[in-house]
Amino acid sequence: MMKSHVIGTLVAMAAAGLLAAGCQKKPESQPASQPAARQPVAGEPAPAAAGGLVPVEISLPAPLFEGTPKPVDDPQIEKPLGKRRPPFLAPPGTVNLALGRAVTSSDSAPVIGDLEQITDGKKEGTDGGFVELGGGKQWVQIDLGSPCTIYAVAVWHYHKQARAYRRVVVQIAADQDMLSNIRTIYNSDRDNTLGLGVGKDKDYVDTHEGRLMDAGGATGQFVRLYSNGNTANDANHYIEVEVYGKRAP
Amino acid sequence: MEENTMTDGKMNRRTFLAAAAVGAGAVITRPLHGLAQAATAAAGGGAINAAILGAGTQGMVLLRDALAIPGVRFKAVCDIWAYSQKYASGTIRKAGQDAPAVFEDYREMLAGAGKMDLQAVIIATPDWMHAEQAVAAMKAGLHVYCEKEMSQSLAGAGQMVQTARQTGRLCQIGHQRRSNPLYRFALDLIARDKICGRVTTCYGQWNRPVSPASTWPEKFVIPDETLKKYGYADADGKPSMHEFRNWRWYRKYSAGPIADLGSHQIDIFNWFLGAEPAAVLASGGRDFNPSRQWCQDILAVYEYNTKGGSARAFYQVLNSNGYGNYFERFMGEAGTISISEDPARCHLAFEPAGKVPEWMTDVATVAADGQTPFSLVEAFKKRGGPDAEAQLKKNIHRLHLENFFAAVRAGDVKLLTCPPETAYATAAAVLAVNDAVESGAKVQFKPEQFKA
Repeated sequence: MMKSHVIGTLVAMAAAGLLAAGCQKKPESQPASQPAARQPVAGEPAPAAAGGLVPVEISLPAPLFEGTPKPVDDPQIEKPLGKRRPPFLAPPGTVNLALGRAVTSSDSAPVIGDLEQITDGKKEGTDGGFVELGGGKQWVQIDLGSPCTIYAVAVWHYHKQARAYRRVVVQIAADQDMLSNIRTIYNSDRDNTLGLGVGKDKDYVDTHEGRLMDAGGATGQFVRLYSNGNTANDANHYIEVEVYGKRAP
Repeated sequence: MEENTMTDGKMNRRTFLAAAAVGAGAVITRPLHGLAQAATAAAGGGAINAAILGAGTQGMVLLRDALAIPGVRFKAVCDIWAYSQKYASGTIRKAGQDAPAVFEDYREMLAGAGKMDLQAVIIATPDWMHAEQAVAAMKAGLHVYCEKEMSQSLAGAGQMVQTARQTGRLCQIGHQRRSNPLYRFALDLIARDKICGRVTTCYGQWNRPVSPASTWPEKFVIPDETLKKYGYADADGKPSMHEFRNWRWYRKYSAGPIADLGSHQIDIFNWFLGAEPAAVLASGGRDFNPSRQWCQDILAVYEYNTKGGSARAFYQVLNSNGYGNYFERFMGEAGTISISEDPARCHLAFEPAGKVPEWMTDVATVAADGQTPFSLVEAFKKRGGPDAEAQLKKNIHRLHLENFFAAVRAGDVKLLTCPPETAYATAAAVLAVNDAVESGAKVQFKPEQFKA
């Protein structure tokens, strides 16, 4: 039986304070049409409500540490934050739009796991909790069902052991072929291996907190996440993807 | 035994990394092909048909690394857990090989070994099954790569040694540091070049944070009758998925953290000192999880009588605090070498009485422990031969598997870097720690205890 671990929650912190504009990242090439979400500075208290924004509650799985990971020592990989991620602020009514939504992939026959696990709301990192795609460049795509305003994408690749996924690119588009109104919200592909353009974002070590990427209020119906192996092997893994936003009126 | 030809830290490529420190305590090895040559040998010749027996976390690490070795084809997967069967067979297919035969019972797999033309099996099941399965596999004509601890009992380990001798099958035990070029480089610096002077103190640690029990998805629960058939039942005889998933916690299936983790590093103490210990005393604690039957933390002190005189080795394994992670350290009056499977923790510092070799003066230094020792990795890149950097990029288990498959291809047990006799001596030193913890007394060894 899969045990239900204690759910950690990113909750609002009481003190008021200004948000750091330097931590915000807007999608490329298109201004947000809705109030932008904001990511406060790590370690600084976030207001319960600032400019109409409220903290997004994200449930977290139990942290894991199994076996002996391959050493992760690469200047491309950002240093660990060393503390909990600060709350992410977004307009009231923001929800996980990806929950239960259809998932497609470049690898329609995963090594292990089923694609629907990626949006089933379960983030446990233990065996059985992840989907493994084949080696090299792979992607998964989530159809949100209708156009949405997206404030953040959160992804849990694999957190049973410390490892970093290579060339992570996350895009939002209006169509399933990713041709219309494409917005790139994260790109760590520094040598353009994926052919989607050179990115400047850092690689990072996955943890039970997952990675939250600021989408800045981009509009779109489809979210596609790319990767190209990881520091332990050339496979690509996904436990869960959450897309925080609101349905377009 | 022929001497290597390295002088003043300079390695002859042909002699570097000689395999086969056959028998514990053999420090300087005869000039066999190095790991690079082993990789070439493993890639050459005909295909080797192999099976994976036990496809849990460690089994999957070995499977992936073995799949990267040209010519190694996996014809069979055996595991009692349907999840692992599916994961391993899917990985094999994704690697471009034919779908393997899948078994739940290893005896059925061995019965079909001839039909599948199996030549080798990689065993990564829980420790309590190693001896039974390795012995059966060798008797079925297969060469065996078996994870450490080779057995949770010395009796079982001894059976593996005897069966390897009787059948002529090769048996490599998974102390993979023995095939690691950086470790072999460090050994040569210590044992031959005497770069640390006389080593009198060793230290090793493997620290991990407190971790929760392993769980499982409901759809992959092993049926009770299957758990019971394969012995995964609690003290009351009730089938236990929890014990199957957390077998390292239980005395029935494991010898505890000192075998799981300490075995790797105590093996290095013996290897680098060229001796087995004369005595050990130890203490341990069970503080955080009462359902763990073994101490989560153990601290042990070994006493050695080496050719150079007495030496002491302090080892700790923690499952209560992960600070500092894992490494081994060798300290003499002239210098200190720290070595680890994590390259960032490998360095060399000199004492005032030490002398920096001329070739090392331009080797990069690193910040470590408040000092700036020389980088052992950079020293190896300079002196380890033209393929040094390529070797460092390989996964740590792949090198050991390459050595195994090269030896299988050559049909030469002497090529193995960790034959069962070597691992037996290590197991004798390791398993005694649990006795020392429970008795509270110093355990004295006799030399014959290290021979099977």
